[in-house]
Parts: sequence; structure tokens; C-alpha cells
Amino acid sequence: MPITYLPLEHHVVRYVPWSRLRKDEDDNVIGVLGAAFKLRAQEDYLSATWAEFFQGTRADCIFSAIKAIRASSFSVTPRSGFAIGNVGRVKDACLADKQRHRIRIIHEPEDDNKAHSALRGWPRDNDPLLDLLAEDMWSETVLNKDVPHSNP
Amino acid sequence: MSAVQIPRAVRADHAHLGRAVIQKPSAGVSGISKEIADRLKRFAEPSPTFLGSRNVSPPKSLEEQLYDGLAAFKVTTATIAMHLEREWRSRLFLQLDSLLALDDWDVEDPPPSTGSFSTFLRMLILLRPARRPGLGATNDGILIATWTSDDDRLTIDCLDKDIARWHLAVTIEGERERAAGITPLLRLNEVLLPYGPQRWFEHAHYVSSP
Repeated sequence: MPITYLPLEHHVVRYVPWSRLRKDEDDNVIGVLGAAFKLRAQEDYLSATWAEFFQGTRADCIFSAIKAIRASSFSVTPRSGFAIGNVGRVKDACLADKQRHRIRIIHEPEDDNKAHSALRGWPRDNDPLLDLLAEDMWSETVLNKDVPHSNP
Repeated sequence: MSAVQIPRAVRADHAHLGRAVIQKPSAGVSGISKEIADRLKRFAEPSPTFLGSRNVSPPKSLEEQLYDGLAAFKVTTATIAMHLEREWRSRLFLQLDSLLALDDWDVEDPPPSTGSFSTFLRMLILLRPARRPGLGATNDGILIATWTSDDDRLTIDCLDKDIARWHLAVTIEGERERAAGITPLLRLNEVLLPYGPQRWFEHAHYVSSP
């Protein structure tokens, strides 16, 4: 099966649990934390969902990606969120870092999420870079509660 | 809300609290930190009731882990209650309730460790922020404190043993600056000083000296 690299102008959507959303002192959500992009010890790649795998407008694609995440085996909790990042900007930021991470964003469908994508070569110990992504290139945040469960 | 209020029926799991691992502060700490450390150490010692042999317990469910973690955090905070204004402390407890809510906790994450929470508390005493931080947690049990003022961001991971791993991004005179480091708590104020930390902490009227 040929490897499909996601086009630079496309977007990836990553699930962000409540504990990795950036909040103010009154729990108002401001965005995501860099920790939202941190690999677990046993993970080899960062998981996300390819928005443009689906058809329609940008909003349609993102809505479909969120629907796919909800339908997967993932436990999507009420106050969680989703971070949306542009493929090209995320790759550029990783490459521009002084550690020059050459990441690959690959379509790797799974049984429960056909739009699943893997970000391979993802930095394991570079918190400042993850913070930069959370602040800028991968900062667009949608809260789960704000996304309807049926087509908008 | 009282100083220690745990929003569930109290269960007889006090032995866990007796086993709580309380980290010692690094060498050269201030008098306040030593006093806090002494209180935490006394708190961690088991009472005579629990000095006997303990049965080996089965693994705890996530709900039990979160409940026990929250209880330990609140009781630990109560031991240094004199350093935190009552309303400030009550609101911090609400944030902890919210962060560790079972319905929203990622099932793969361990709750923040008591070592991380001890560092968090000492950090609050040392920084004396008027504004409470936003709270978060890493996927490996580290409590995260954040302050955000417009686009200026400060993020502090509270590691064990009074170590802060921090990142910040600020705009100073129109230029965007970023900095990061791993710093003992006692030097944290000093390393943040060039970035004007008052932008995040404001004044310190709500945290009192003993």
C-alpha cells in the first residue's frame, strides 16, 4: 500500500482532554497546552485525524473529523476539546526548531477511524517547541460541547 | 466552603493519606519553606492507629485514585492554610475539583503525584501570586500551572523535589520573546524577573505571611 503524506495545505485535528486545555483561573478555556502534543512513553507517533479526508467546506471537514474521533474507541469527555493544525505550518515549525525535527504526517487509517493520521518523527523531549505549536501553529481550538452531534 | 471540603461521601481510606509521599525541599530553603516542609512531614507520619501491619490492597480504580489524590491535595493544602487567603484557597479547591473530575479525566493518565502537588504549593507560597493559576496536568502525573495575560503566557510544570520546568512567551517593546528553563523553586522568582512577572501575578494582597 503506497504511503500517503498529507498535503501541506490540509489540516489535522487532535483530541485534547480537559487536563491539557489551557485555562484561566476560573476555568475558562483559552487554548491548548503544549502538553497536549506530548507523546506518552509507549507511543511512537502522535495521533491525529486528517480533516480533508472528508468532503465539503473547511467547517464540514473539521466537523466530520470530530465525528470520526467521537465514533472511534477513544473516550471523548464532555469538557474536552479538539486542536486544529495546518500540516505545512506544523512541519515547518518542527523543522525550524534548532533540533530540526523532520516530521512526516502520514495517513494511517485504523479500523475505527479511517481518517487517522500518524505524525512520525515527533519530538519526544522538546517542550518549548510543543509550547510554540500550542500557542501558534496548532492553536485553533474547538470545544467538544460546542460541536453538535448531528450535522450542523 | 470550609477549608477542607471533599465533594463526596468520606470513605475509610485514611491509610492512604498516612502513606502520602511528601517531598523534602531542596537545600538552602527559606524559613517559610522549612516550616511548610515540617508540617507536611508531620502530616505524612501515620497516627498510632495505623502503625500496625497493613493488608495489601487490590489495585485502585481510576475513581479511587482521583478521589484519594484530591483528598490528599486538599488536606495538604489545609496544613499551610495560614499562607493562603480563605477565598483564594476555596477557589483553588474548586479548580482542583474541576481538574480531577472523573467525567473529564483521561483514563490513560495517572493523577498528578503528591510530589508534584507539594512543589505546586511551595511555588504558590514563594511566588505569592494574587491571581490563581489555571491548572492542567501532563500525561505522566505532573501538575501544570499557567498564567495568561493577553498573549503573554507563563507555563510551569511542577516537578518533584521543588523543581519548576517553565516556558514563557511575552511581547516586550513590540518584540516577541520566548524563554524556557528548569529551575529550583527558590530561584524561580529571580529568573522570571526580567520578563516582568507582575503581568501574570499582579499584586500579592491575597497571600499572607504567617
